[in-house]
Amino acid sequence: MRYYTKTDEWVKVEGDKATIGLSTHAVEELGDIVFIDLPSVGDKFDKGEAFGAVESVKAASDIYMPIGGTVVAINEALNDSPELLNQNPLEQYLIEIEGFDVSELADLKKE
Amino acid sequence: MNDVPIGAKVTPLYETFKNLNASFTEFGGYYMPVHISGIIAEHLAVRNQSGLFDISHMGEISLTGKDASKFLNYVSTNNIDKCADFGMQYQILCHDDGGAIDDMMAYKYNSESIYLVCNASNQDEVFNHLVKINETLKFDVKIVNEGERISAIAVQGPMALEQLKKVMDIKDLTFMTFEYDGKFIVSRSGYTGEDGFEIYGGHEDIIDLTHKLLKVGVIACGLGSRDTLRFEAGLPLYGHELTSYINPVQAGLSFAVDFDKETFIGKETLLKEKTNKPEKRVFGMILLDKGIARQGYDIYDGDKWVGYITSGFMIPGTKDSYANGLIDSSYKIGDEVEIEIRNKRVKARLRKKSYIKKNYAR
Repeated sequence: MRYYTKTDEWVKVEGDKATIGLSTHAVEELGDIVFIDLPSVGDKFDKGEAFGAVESVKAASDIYMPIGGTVVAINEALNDSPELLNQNPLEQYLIEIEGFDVSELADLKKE
Repeated sequence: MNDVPIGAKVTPLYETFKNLNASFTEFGGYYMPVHISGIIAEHLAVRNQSGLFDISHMGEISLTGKDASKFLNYVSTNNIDKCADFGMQYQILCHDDGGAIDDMMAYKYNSESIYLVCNASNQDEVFNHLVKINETLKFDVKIVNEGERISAIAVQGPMALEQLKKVMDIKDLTFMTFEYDGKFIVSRSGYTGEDGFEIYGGHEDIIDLTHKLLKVGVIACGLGSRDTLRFEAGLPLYGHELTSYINPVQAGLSFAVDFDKETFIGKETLLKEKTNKPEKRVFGMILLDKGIARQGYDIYDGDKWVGYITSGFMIPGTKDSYANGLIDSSYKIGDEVEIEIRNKRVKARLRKKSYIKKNYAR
């Protein structure tokens, strides 16, 4: 199950790992995505903190942590082909995290 | 979803673009299409085929009377006397301190009848400024705001002429000239760096022409690609490369300032700038690391702040990231600077601020 933030990120928890991505609505609003600025593996962020940015042709938008955690993987495919995010925003995660607290999901909207 | 925000105006082509499922945004007081099929697809359509833009939001002001040219030469930087009848000339309207109020295209019917096309967001300010100046100086000129009764489109790209020929009687005009056929004002001009035409007319006539052009395969384009295309072609956008605090000399637009004119508003300051070299000027630059530089980002040389970004894009269809910025004029093309993007430094090398070869009809 995905949980959504008010700023249009989603988080999907599977065991002790969680993936974070952008909602279909957010991606449609952005239009053509040309660059995604992702953090490095090992970076740690709190819930609500900006962890990167997604850039359409026109503008850069910060992306925020739905829940806090430590980055254990980034979706490398998006570095070379950010347009994959336009094609299928729910299949393309941005980062994978560990070390989160599931109670932080409480204020998010279930899909 | 595309309900018009309170207070925003729409152009007569709003319904047409709404039916194409355009994404809209508020711009210059108008609710305008940003992209339809996507900025990248639209940008490439204009570079390789043909695209159509709604430019009805632009302001149109007519100057008529014995002193029309004299008046324009006093309020604006360029010299309209050097422009032939049915020719066009780029003009910059400045304050006394040289700061720009707006940049405009002048369409000269003759020395006593000139039509100005200015930016949507500035049209009221430009009109009021012109009227106010003439209240004191009393030139023999009638200044009329024509914006509300005129619609306009730009048809741009290497196939623009070919496509227009399918739907209207159109002449193979010389670049930067225009004609009036009783129904439309048609000029060989644009804001994309490509060959193309700008067409002005009554609302219904422009709507009808737009539908015909879309039917023969001209691609509907929005403000998003209009911005990337003008940027790539090295054309300034008011509010970015030219503002009330970036004067025409700093913007590198001295070609549109005729210092030989006896007098014009802003001459004293601009001449000083030109003679003593401005403290800062607008440079182009290529980013050497990954990233996109957006308006307002700071530019450094080590610890020293040297300027800020005025526009920047990753050119649609490429991975090339370019930007324009206002930088200390002690720097020169080839020098390296650093742009701060989200607390990280990205290297850039200064270059000229035109990123393609223009493809105008000459």
